[in-house]
Amino acid sequence: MKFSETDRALFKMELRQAFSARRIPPLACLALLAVFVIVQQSELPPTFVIVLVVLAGLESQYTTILFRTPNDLEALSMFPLEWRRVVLIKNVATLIATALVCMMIAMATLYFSPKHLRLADLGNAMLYGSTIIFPLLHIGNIESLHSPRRTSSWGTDDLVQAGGMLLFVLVLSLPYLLLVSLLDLPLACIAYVALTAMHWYTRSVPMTAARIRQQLPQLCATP
Amino acid sequence: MTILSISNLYKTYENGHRALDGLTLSIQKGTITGFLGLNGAGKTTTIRILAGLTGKDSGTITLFGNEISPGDVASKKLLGFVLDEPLYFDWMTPEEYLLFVGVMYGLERSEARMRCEELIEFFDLDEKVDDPIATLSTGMKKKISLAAAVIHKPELVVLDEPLEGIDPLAARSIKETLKMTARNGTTVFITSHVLDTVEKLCDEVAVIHRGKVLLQCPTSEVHTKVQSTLDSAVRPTLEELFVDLVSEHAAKRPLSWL
Repeated sequence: MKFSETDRALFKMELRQAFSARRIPPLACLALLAVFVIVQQSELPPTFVIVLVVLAGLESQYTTILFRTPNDLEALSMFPLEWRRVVLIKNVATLIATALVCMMIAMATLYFSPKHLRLADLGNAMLYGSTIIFPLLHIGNIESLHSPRRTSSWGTDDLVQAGGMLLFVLVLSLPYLLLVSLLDLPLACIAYVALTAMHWYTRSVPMTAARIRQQLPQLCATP
Repeated sequence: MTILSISNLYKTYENGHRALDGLTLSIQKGTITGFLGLNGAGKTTTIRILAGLTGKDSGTITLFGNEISPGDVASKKLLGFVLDEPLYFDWMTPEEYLLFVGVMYGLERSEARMRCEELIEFFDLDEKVDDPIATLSTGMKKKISLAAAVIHKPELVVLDEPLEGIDPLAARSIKETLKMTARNGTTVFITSHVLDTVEKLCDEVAVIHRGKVLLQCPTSEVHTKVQSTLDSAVRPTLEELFVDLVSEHAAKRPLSWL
């Protein structure tokens, strides 16, 4: 797939919005929370804590793809853009933002972790993250259309959404627990990741784009 | 040549308010058409339907003879909008925003940058070029919005109240841009409450009232078309004609206690 100048500009804007000033303080607070939990609860795997904290912090990045800012949808719908490209770019930017935030929080937390991190732990963490990420993107795309939020911050609604997201994460962790932790079949887990990625790319992205096209006036009426 | 044709457009909102009641309108290429109406007459609804932001109940809208459908990418390249609400990514600086818009409309980055620099100079945005749009005045924001609407040289620019809430200098530069745009073959469709401006700026006017177009004709012919009850010894202004025209349809009972 070839990226055009338009795609690159949109991607850059998405990443800038992902790391906007309003996001930094909550992420910093969550990083501190992760450090605290890892130091206090040394039986919990640090990678699990990191993933939970990152996804809670980036919840709105997944579930409000149409409203990074309150008028994002209207502004984007003025441009001659294919919604499929827009959804794809937004999702890819979310993936990269997640990876970057994971790395930053991991560096902070693992420094304080009483456990020694082995290379195998890192591999398992990456596999675990890959297992949940594509289904989460899919759920986020659905949620963005089903319950669009023009603004997202750290209010009650947003915390409830973040809680819901963590529940999804727990459910989506089951394939990893089953295939890797219980059955010790990492290759089967990799195959599962490939299937979820294929589903996201071939079904979730086009389906979301088609629904945005069909429901644009209703989505624009979001209060 | 008709560039935009709206035929029998109906829209009723969920609360039962009928915003458009069979609106029919056509706009000729290269003209500046003023769209006049009272608050709530249906101007903004018409423009939001044109932009694809509000759904219509029935009716057709054609651009160069082709019906516009929601999500139609080809027609969006031919249109530029200044809506009544800020649509910009207001955390960007004016320069970043205009460059971004240019690239979104498919311009090469170098071409977009060149046009962006010219627009910043033309609209006197140089001093504020590094400030986020959110921190700028209403007039500045309107100018940025107009600059963004014309950066890709659209065939039709649609503006919803571009002169509202801005100072005379900003209004003047916007009016100059619209005239220049029309001279270069771009069609302009503008709603405004500033009737004096519409009279001086527009080649055509369309008067909308309760979702219907009551009158559409060249500005110079409005006086002969309206059966004015005004004193014929003095040539009435467009404002007087407009009030005369819509007040026939919106007669008010006087207050009994005043």
